Amino acid sequence: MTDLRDPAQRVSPRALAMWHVEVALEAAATAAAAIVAAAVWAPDAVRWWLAGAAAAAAVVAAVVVPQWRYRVHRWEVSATAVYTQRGWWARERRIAPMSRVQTVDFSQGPLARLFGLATLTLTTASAAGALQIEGLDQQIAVRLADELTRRAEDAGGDAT
Amino acid sequence: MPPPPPAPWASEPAGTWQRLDPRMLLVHPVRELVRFWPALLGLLVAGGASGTGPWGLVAVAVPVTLGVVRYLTTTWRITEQRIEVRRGLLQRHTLAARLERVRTVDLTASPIHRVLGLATVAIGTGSVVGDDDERLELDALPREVAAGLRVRLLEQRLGAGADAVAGTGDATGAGGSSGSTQRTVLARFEPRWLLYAPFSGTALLAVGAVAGGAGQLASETGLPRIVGLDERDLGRVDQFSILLVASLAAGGIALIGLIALGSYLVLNGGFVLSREGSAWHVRRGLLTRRETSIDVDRLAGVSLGEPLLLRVARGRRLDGIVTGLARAPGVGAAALVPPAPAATVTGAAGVVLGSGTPLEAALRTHGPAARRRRFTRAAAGAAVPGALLVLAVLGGAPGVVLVLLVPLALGALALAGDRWRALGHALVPDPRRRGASHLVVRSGSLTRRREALATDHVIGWTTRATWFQRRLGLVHLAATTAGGRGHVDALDIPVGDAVALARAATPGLLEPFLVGTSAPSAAVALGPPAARTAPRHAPEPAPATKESTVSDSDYRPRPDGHPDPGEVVWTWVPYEDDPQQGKDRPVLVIGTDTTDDGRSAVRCLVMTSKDHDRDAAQEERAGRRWMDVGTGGWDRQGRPSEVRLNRLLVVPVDDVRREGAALDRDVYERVLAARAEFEG
Repeated sequence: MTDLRDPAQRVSPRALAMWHVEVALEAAATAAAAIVAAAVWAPDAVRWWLAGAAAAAAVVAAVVVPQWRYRVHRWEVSATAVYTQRGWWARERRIAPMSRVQTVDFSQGPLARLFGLATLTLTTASAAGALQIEGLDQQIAVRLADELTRRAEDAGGDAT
Repeated sequence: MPPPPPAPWASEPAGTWQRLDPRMLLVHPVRELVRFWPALLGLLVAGGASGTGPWGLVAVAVPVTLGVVRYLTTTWRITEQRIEVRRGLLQRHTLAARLERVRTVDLTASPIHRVLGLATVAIGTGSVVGDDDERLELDALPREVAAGLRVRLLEQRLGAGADAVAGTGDATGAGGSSGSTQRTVLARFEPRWLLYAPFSGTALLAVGAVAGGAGQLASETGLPRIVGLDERDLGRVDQFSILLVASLAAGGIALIGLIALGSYLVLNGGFVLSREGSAWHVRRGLLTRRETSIDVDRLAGVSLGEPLLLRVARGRRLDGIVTGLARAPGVGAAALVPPAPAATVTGAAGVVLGSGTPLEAALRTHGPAARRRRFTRAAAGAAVPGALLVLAVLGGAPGVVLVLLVPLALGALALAGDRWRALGHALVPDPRRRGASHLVVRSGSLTRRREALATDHVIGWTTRATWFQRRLGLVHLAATTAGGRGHVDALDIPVGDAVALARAATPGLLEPFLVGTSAPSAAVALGPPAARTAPRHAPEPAPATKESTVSDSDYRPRPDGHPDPGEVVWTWVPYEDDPQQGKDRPVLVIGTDTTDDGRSAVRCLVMTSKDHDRDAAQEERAGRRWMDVGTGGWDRQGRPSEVRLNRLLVVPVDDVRREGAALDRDVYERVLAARAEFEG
């Protein structure tokens, strides 16, 4: 039985750091809200247990989620096609031929800019076919965007 | 060939800006009059005294003014290359579409339009546009002008696909008469189709709504009273309320049936599916008549709807998977056949697909893991209401409620079984086109569909597997496409089958990413663009292009039965925008090579007798570079020809036909130099 292998390239190691910050911020906000809620509404007996559980869950999430994401988020560009993988519970792999790529979007959020990272989104003519690579090194993303745009143009046609 | 009859639009010289039909001025006021008739009635009866006067006047004046402004500011024209629409009072918009980008043309005529002899034209170009202002729509043109415009727009598509080398004669021949004569009807509305109306999806929704309403009514009227009455009265009132609920239900069902019949008739009355020239035409609507024309090449596939209710009635429905359908308001834009007898629908689908096999072929089932998953999911779905029932009984509800668990369990089992039986996939070769096939998948129970998608319309692949699916070795495989919903899905397909199916449907696309293949090691593995000039995931090894290892391009045409550099030979060349289709064309041999599987091959450049000078700039923008090579023995009519510099084909020697023509040495050398310069 032949299966697809994982795409060859990992995203930038700095993405790991960025996701740690990102998830830690989110988890801290959620945990703070949960702790406040527990302190106000929960009965005395379980109040601090609940608050502790929320804090522990936040710490675990901040440590585990980025690691997991870094293991799963992968990409690869062959001579003729682009291949991406993402998702932790439902793992999603997408393949699109270079000739069917219509637009290449380069985007950078404030946090990503701080870490020198970028996201590439490749759209095809299908409403369901966009490929996204998060956490790419900025330089690589720029080169990749140029190269993909050029090859998509070379392929000609209207990519439908 | 007799000259084709002049089309109505031909009375205007090409490229003249034209206005909409002035009769459109009446459409909107009439529509507004209908909408505001209570206010107007008030105006007429009470005059200005009641205070409705000014508002009534505004209600009439505003649409009239808007109509006049729209009429005065909207103009359109059709030129050799483009259709353009100009509109807007303050901010002028010019919308333009290249004629070869036109995929669908939609003619709609509301009852008002029909009385006035008008039709609205909506042009679909494949760009996904949500904004009303950006839609190519002309509301309204005289009916005949609209019909003529449609013929012109779709005929242009035919002409763009064909090539001047051999195609001019029959392209214009077919185009000139396609509007009226070459019409083949595939399916036509019959009154007995109305029997299927109650079994269509809309009726099911209505039944649900009314059943819910009836239930609520029963609980609000009958039940509380029953509870409040003593034992002796219970029997009498119970009978009465059962009678009441039953008659209400019967009346409701009859009403639903009537609504279903009425809406079916209004939507689908006068339905005709036909083939005219190079387009499929769907005409339907008893009051508002809608005619959709879909360019044959843009019908990526079909979706055969077999929902449970319709299956019970032995009916089916058919939708097209269409690229670039105008997103005009209206339902079921891509519907090809409304709910109708199964034989009629599958027959029509067979004609549309070019073969009935994709709809009849036995499908490969998805195996025991998929079956287990269907039943597990059904059990999980039934567990929640089941648990609620048990909780209710524990909480004090009468134990008899637990009886409901039986139909719940049986229903879940039946649904799971039916859903499991639906699952299947296949790849069915297309007899019409070399190397092409249809990807066929089926799934669902209450809303079962069998979809057939031409593989050359597959843009890419998405696989999705949750942790549960990975554990079972299953995956959700989606072929993405530009048409329809954007994807065609195979649910819970075993991983091995999924990869095999995708590899067979798009040869070469998945190969670099399979287990056991080596991946490039560099951070950005962007090597030389080996496939720059390759046809998209080439259908078969024959015209596959690759970077040459050995090439000998010295000029040496010899009548030795073997294609040599400098000779012009004939071979099958795939179209660039649709590699599954192509045609026999002359090509210039510029070297020798071998194919991937080791056969001896020649490197060729495509030739054409089309004159590309007049729109050189446009060609260049489209990435095509041509060079004049004069006349020669390859074109019997002695027309000057050109060579395309930037599209290299590697064709096996066995697939080439020699006719003994060759370029002069100096012309050949100039082609090589120009190509080297272009590549350099």
